[in-house]
Amino acid sequence: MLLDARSYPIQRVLEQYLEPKNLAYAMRLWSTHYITQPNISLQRFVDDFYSRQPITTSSYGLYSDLLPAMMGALQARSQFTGEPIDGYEFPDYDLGGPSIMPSTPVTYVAPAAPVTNLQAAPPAVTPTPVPMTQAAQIIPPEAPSTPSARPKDERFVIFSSFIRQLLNGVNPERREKMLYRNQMELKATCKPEAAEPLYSWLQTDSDYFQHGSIGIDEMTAITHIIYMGLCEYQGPVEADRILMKVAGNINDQYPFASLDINQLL
Amino acid sequence: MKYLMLSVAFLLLPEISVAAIDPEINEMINVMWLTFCAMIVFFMQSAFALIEGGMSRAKNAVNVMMKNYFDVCIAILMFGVTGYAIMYGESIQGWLGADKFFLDGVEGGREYAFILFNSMFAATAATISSGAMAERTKFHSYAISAVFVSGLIYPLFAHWAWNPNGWLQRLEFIDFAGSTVVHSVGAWVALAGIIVVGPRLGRFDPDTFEPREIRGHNLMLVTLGGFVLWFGFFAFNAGSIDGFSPLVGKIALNTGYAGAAGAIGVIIISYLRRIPLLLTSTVNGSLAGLVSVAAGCATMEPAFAALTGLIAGAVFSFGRDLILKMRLDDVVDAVAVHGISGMWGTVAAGMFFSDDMFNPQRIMIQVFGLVVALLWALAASFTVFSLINIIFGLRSTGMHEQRGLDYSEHSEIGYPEFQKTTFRAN
Repeated sequence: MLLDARSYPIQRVLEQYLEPKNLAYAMRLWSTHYITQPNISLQRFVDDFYSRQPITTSSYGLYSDLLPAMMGALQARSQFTGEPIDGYEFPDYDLGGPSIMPSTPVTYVAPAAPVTNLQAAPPAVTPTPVPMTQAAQIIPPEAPSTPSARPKDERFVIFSSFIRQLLNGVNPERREKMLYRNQMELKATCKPEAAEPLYSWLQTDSDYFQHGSIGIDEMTAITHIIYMGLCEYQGPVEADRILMKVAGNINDQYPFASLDINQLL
Repeated sequence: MKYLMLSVAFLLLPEISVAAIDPEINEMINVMWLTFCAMIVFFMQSAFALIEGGMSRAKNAVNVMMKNYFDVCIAILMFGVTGYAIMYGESIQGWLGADKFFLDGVEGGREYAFILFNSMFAATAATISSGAMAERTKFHSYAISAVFVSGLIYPLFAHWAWNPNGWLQRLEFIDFAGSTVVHSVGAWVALAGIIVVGPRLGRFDPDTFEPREIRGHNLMLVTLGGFVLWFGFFAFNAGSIDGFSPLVGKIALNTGYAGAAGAIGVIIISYLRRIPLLLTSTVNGSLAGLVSVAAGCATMEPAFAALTGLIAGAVFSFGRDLILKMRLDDVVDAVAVHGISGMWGTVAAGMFFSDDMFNPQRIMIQVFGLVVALLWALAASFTVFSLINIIFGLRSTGMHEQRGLDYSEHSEIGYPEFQKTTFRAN
C-alpha cells in the first residue's frame, strides 16, 4: 500500500521532532481527523497532539517546518501528469486550503467545481495512509521550486490530456495552421480572461491547462472546435478515428474520474 | 364477371388488343395498371433510402432513412394540396395550373390513379436532394424544402412540359417519363441545396482543395437499393404511358437496356481512365442509364436506348468529377446521376427520335427545355434553401455533425451495438 502524498511530508517532518511513540500517535491523529481537512487546520493539528502528548521540542519550530513540507507536497502534485510519481499517487484532498496559498495567478486559478478523487487507472490504489514502517521505503517527491503552484483539478488533468492527444493527431505544421484558422472560434468558446491563456496553451506542448472560468460547456465547445479542425486537416474519417482512439485512451486511463470524457463528445 | 374478364384480358395480353375489348374493362385495366405502377414507383422510395443510407456514414443512417421516409409523406400530401393543381389544373397561358387545388373538381377513378402516380413522381423529385445533402442538413429544414419542391418547384415545370397546354409541351419538348421534368429538376434542387449547405466537415483539404473520400457504411444496402430502383424504373417509365398498351413492352425493354448499358459504360470509362472499378460507381452508372432513357424510352429504338445508357455511364463518370472539381459535396452523386445524365438523356431523346433522328430543330428544343429546367429549378430552390437557411438554419452544427445526426436529430442510433461512445443527454 502506498502512502498518500499528503501524509508523507507530515510524517517526514514529524520524524525529526518526535519519538517513535509520539510519532505514531501524531500520525494516527492526523489520519483520523486531519488528513481530509484544509491546510488551515495544520496549526490545529500541531496544537492538538502537543496538548495530548508530553513533547519537549518547540511546537513553533515543528509547525514552521511542517508548512514548507506541505508546500512541497503541493508542488509535487502540481507537476502530476496522471502517472504515479515515484510510487506516489495524488488523491485529491483539499491541499489548497484557503489560508495557506498566496493569491492566484491569472492562468492558474482554483477550480470552481468541487474537487474529487483523481485516480489513474493502472495501478488502482486506495488513498489510505499506511503504517509508518512502510513509509520509510517510499521515495518522496521532489522539493518545491516555487510555493505558488496550485493543485491540479482532476477535470482539467483529463481535459488537458484529451485535448493534447487530439492535437498530437496532426503534424506540428498543420496543427499550427489549424489552431490559427480556428483561433477566433476557440477564443469565443470561453470568457475573455480565459481566451488568450487557452490559445497560448494550445500552441505549446504543455500537458496541463486550467482556468477557473472554464466549465464542462466550454470544454465541450473547445473539443468540438478541435475536432472540426481535425476534420479539416486530417479528414473526417481520420478525425473520427483519432477522436475515438483518444477518448478510449482517456476512458481507460481514468475509468472512475469525475469527468467522463464522453460528456465532451 | 368483369373481374374474370379482366383476369383473362391480363393473361392474354399482349395477344389481344386492349382497344378491342369493352371500353369499361379497358378503363379498369388502365386504372389498375396506373395504380400498380404508382405502387411500384412508391417502392422506389425504399431504394432511395437504401442507396442514400448505405452511402452515408453509420452515424447518419437513421437521419437519411428518416428524411426519405418523411419526404414521401410530405410529397404525397403536398402534391394533392397544390402540386396537382399547378401541374394539371386549367392552364393559364401554358404557365400555371389554376384549378383543382385540394383535388377540388377531380373526376372519376382514373384521375385518382393518375394523381397517385404523379404524386410518386413528385416524391421522387423531392427525395433526390436528401441524398446529396446528407450528413449535414437539419431534418426540419429539409422537410420544409420538400414542401416547396413537391408543392411548387416540380409541379410548375411539369406543367410547362407535360400539361397539354404547357408552353414547352406546345414546342414539342420530349420528356416521356421525366429525365428532365423529374430527375433533372430534383438534381438541380439538390445542387442548390449542396451549394447553400456547404460540404461536410473535412470533405476537401483546406490547403490543396483535394477531395477526401468519405466512404459509405454499407455497400450491400447500396447494391440492393440499385436493384430495387432499377425494378422501380420499369414502372416509372412504363406507367408514364398513362394506360396499358403494347408500347409497354418496348418501354420496359429500353429501360432494361439503358440500365445495363449505363453500368457497362461507367466500367469502360473507369477502365480507360485507370480509376478503380467501384461498386458505387457501377450502381450509379446503371441509374444514370435508367435516368437518361426516361425521356426517350417510348420514342427510341432499343439499340439507341442501350447507346443512350452507355453514354450516360460515361457522362456520369465525368459529371461526378466535375462536381468534385467545383468543390461541391454530393454524398450520393445525385447531381451527376439525375442531373447531368438526365440532361444527356433529354438531348438523346431528341437525337434518337424514331423515324426522325438527328433533327437539329428537335435537338435544339430539347436543349432549350433542359436549360429552362436548370434555370427554374436552380433559381427557385436556391431561393428556398437560402430563405430556410436564414430563417431556420439549414446546416447542422459541427457538434451534431461529429456526433452524427442520428443521435443529435432523432435520439436514435442506427447501430447501437456498434456505437463506440455514449453521449450526455442534453
